[in-house]
Amino acid sequence: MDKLKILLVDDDEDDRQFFADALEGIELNTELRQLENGKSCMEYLLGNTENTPDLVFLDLNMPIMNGFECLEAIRRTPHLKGLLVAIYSTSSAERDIEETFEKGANIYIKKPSSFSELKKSLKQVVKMNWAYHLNDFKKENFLLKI
Amino acid sequence: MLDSMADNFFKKIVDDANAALLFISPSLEGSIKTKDYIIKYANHKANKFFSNSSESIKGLPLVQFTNGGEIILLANKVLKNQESEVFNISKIEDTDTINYNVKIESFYDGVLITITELRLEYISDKESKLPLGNVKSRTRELEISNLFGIRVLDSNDSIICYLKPVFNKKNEVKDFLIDYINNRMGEIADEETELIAGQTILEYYPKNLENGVFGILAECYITGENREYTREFIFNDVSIWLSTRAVKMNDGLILFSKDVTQEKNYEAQLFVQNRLLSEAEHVANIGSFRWNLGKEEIKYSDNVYKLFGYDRNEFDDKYDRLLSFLHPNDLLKVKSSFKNGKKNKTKTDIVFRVYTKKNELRYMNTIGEYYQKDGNWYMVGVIRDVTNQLESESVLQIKNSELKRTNADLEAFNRVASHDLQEPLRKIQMFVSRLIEEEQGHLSSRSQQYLDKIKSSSDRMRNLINNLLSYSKVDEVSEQPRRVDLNDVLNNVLEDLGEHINDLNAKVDSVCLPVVNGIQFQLEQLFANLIGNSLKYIKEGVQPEIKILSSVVKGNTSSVDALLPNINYVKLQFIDNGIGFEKKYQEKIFEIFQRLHGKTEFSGTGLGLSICKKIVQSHNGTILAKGELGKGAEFTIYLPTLL
Repeated sequence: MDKLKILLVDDDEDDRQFFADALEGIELNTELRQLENGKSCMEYLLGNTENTPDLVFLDLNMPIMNGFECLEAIRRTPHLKGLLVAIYSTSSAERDIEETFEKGANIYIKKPSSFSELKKSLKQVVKMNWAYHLNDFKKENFLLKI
Repeated sequence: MLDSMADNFFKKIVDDANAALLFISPSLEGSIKTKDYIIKYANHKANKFFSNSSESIKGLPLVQFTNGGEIILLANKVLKNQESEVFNISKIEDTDTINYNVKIESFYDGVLITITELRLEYISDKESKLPLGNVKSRTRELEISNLFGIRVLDSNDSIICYLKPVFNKKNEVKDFLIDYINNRMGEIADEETELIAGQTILEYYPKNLENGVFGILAECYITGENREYTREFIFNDVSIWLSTRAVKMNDGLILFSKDVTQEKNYEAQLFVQNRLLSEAEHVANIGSFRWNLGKEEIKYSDNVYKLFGYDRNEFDDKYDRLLSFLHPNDLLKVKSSFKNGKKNKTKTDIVFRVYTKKNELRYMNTIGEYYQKDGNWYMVGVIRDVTNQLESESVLQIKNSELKRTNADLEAFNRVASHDLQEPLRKIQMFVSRLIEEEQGHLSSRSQQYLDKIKSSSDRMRNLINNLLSYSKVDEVSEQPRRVDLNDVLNNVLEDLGEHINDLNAKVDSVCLPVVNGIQFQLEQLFANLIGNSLKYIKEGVQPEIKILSSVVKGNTSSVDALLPNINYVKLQFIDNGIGFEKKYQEKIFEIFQRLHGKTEFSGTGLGLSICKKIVQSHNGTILAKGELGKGAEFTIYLPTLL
């Protein structure tokens, strides 16, 4: 099986580092690309249509283009409609969670406060991704809150 | 029948009588419907009345002397019903109009017609005074009305009476005899009018002496000048006000009295209302005014003077004088406001500053409306001293803006607490967790201990932030209250706490709980905090027990002050067998950051019960704590029932 292509969009350098380390720690066959905001995310996705990631982790609170806007832009783009998007944010506000699901997010992960928890969540999501691709879930039916 | 001597004598009297007498008998000729009468007798006056010779009309048919045959029809009626008919007629003789009273009555086999000239002498002449009786007294009324040429009797509500003086031996007036009085008096006094006439005024109403009526009437009689007076009379315990005009007529007085009881009552009411208004103005610090726009004059109520610090009527009523009180900076505003109002006749409502007599600056509010009367424009309005109001309003405004600032601060704090504070904390926790994970076994036992302290402190901080947030968010819930089954609430909470309960081998018993109106997640937080508290403050060596009871109480039968009397409440009791607390802490226990125990003894943020209280309050309920040291705690919650 090919490497699972993961794109992380987060402006916080520490968080990106935690994420990369955790992903490495769970020892699954993944390839991570990191970007700093929604704008660079959209530029990358639209410029690399041949190399679309399998899974995007999107922070919400980012400069230039925030996660909500980026999510909308993704769902507006025809070939990205089926892209699996996981929101990765500190916010645990019910309002935010609902809004992202309404805008087409598939997964919502609250940034955890311990490293082991982060690894656990990532493992779960990556495994989910395989299930998603294997079973060809419709994205509306695939909502996960961690 | 007039042939005998006695008859002749009588004839002589009759012939010379003051009244015109006519005796007629039915003519046998002609049909019944157009029956005519033959004049059988006419005295001197009658001859004069119908023609100018003394003998000419005897034996002639009556129809020759009457117009329209009305008398004939009346004569028919009289003959048929054996009743008399009385009416008045007017006749122009030379240039004078003379009024006559006509009486038609059945007499032997014919009809007697008596025509009497109506003159004052006649009225005051006792001999000719008509006997009492309804029809007759009406006739008398007519006589009087004709006499004075006033149609006073048209207006039914006047009492008309004719009084004749009664003299004492010294020839002084000592009383007045009620010679005639119309029915109206009887109606007003609720008495038989017939019984009134014939009495003197002092016999009929003795108080006429002390109330001055007799004096006035005597004066009127002596001086011959008209008199007017208004007096209260008590007839059968009912107060009647009569306004009377007395006019001397020959040897007597004619009185016209009007019942003004109602007007008097209105007057009394008006007096009372004016007093009330004045009182009200005083109490409310309000003055009123009426401004005649044409004359630039303003009529003030007493309180207006008081508001400006003056005595009543101490300043004049000119518009310019009012302007002189104004603060110079408000002069233009007031002038243009009145000018506009005057022009458009719109309601004026302005606040302006005035200097009172003591040179005190006061704020006044004037509200005025315009209206037109008799072609003149007026403005009526009130003046209010609003100084205190404005002052307290400005204090309120300051407080309000302070509150707004505080609220904004609080909001900013919430934002800071929810995101900006949590962000670095999360990172600390993250790094600590990585440190613990990666350096496991590599650290000295002391460093390991420090790291554990860092971890527990940061965990506590997170807990604190979360609790603070939920405390400040209790009131901000956008969710509408719904029906919440408290059994579900309890089950959810027990499920969450299940592991903890098992670890402690605690027993939680509950009766079946009711459904209330509320926000489910808040009620869950309430239950979780209370049960969590009981699980926290347990007594060593004793199996923890929590009992939950439920009942319904009526607000007014409960001794709890905070409950509304007409509302039914669900009473929930959470009773545990833990360490309890001292009675003096019953209130304090709900205060924010209030901790009864050291942090090392029991973990906690000091916010749990504050959150409980806030949740219960936002559900329109009350929460009470009862404790005894070493014997357990009891928390009672009152929530309004669904109905």
